[in-house]
Amino acid sequence: MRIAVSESLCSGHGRCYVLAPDIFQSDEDGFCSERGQELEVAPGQEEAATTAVGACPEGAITIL
Amino acid sequence: MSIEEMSIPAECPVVEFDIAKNRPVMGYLTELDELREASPAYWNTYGQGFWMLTRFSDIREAHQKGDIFSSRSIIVTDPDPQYKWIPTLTDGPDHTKYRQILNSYFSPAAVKALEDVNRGFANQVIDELIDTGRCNMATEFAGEFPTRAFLSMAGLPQEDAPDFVKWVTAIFSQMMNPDDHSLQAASAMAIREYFAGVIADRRVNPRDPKKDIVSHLLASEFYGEPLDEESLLNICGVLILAGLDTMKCQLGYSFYHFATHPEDRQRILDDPSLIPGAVEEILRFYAIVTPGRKLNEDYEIAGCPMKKDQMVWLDLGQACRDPRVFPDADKFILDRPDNKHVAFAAGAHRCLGSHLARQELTIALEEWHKRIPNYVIDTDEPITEHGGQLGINSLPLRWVDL
Repeated sequence: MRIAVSESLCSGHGRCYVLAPDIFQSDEDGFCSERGQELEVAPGQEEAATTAVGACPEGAITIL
Repeated sequence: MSIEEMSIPAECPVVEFDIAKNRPVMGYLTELDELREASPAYWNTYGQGFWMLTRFSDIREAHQKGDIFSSRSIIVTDPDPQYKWIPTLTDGPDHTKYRQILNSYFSPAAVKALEDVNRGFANQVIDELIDTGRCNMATEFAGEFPTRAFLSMAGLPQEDAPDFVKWVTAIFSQMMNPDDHSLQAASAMAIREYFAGVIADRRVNPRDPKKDIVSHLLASEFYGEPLDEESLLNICGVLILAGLDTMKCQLGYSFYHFATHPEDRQRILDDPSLIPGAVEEILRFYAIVTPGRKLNEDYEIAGCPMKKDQMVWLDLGQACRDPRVFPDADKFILDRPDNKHVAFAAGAHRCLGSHLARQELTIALEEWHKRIPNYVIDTDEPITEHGGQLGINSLPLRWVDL
């Protein structure tokens, strides 16, 4: 599974790194460190990734 | 321009909806739910008139398009404010810069470091009221705990808490009133004078910028220059406004919920690990903040031809309870999945204090229920709420079996 985090949409709600901390981290300001990137989701992490997609109020995380 | 001159299209009906008056508790959210389902947008004739967007997707779009939907005014009944809340009433790169200055106090890491101290404040307030067997949750715990936590975080003295509670209450009592802002103005001036005193002291006696927010602001740079006195006062003022009444209102609804839904209360008593998820559903179901924006240019959205300088109301409760996004939106589901609510708004102005707010709500529910697990509403008077920032006016609780 590949996901992308939009840099322009991420506003730092922090739901992704709170709910899926193995995939997403907070930068020092509270934005998603992975914003602007595409990530390959490790096996076994698909459910966590999907949870983050569903929890982002900005719709900043998409499954590619 | 009159409504006739505006030639509002049929898709954008006209409504008179009072956004300030008292209603029975849940009246705002349920009436606004009905309005949302009937139309994605309205022209509201209350006050001097403003647009309303009612659905999650349009409300979010307006928040994300800050270049069109400006934050130069965010109170729909006050389109030309005489005050300049910073960063709240700024846009674009300036707004981002101000947020960067404040981030070190509100980041997840900074908030995490406050957890033990804040837990202490929650218990301190509980200590003061537990033996009475009762309290008015709308004011006592809900006003006290966040104020003490905020003052501690900012490096300000605890004995100033009663003044802050008084000033904030006064300001929000008049915020949506289109005719009279006198009490609000007097309290805003009192807050200004308070911080002018703190600023003057810290210029001469600077403290650790990591523990004293005014010292931090004095040591900060905005485009390479120190912040001027007016900016300092504006920033300090808005931190008070944004962080205290919001928490008071949200805690009021939190305890209203658990007092009136014993099955949900029993679930969190049995399994406190459910509390963080419950906090998200509290934020969604009882979304209290009702931001406005001012159009920077003509823009059409949801069938409405909005004109430059008009105001639009973006009620977060209507967005958060939109069934297009949240299945069974009108049901409180304690462990709701996919809870992508916008109770903290969206876009660049996403609430700076959201991490702190979540922590305070979580701590409040955890600590209270450890010590006072069972309580009921202790009045026959109808429970009412006010508009502006939605909040319960009075919530007498009485403990049971303690």
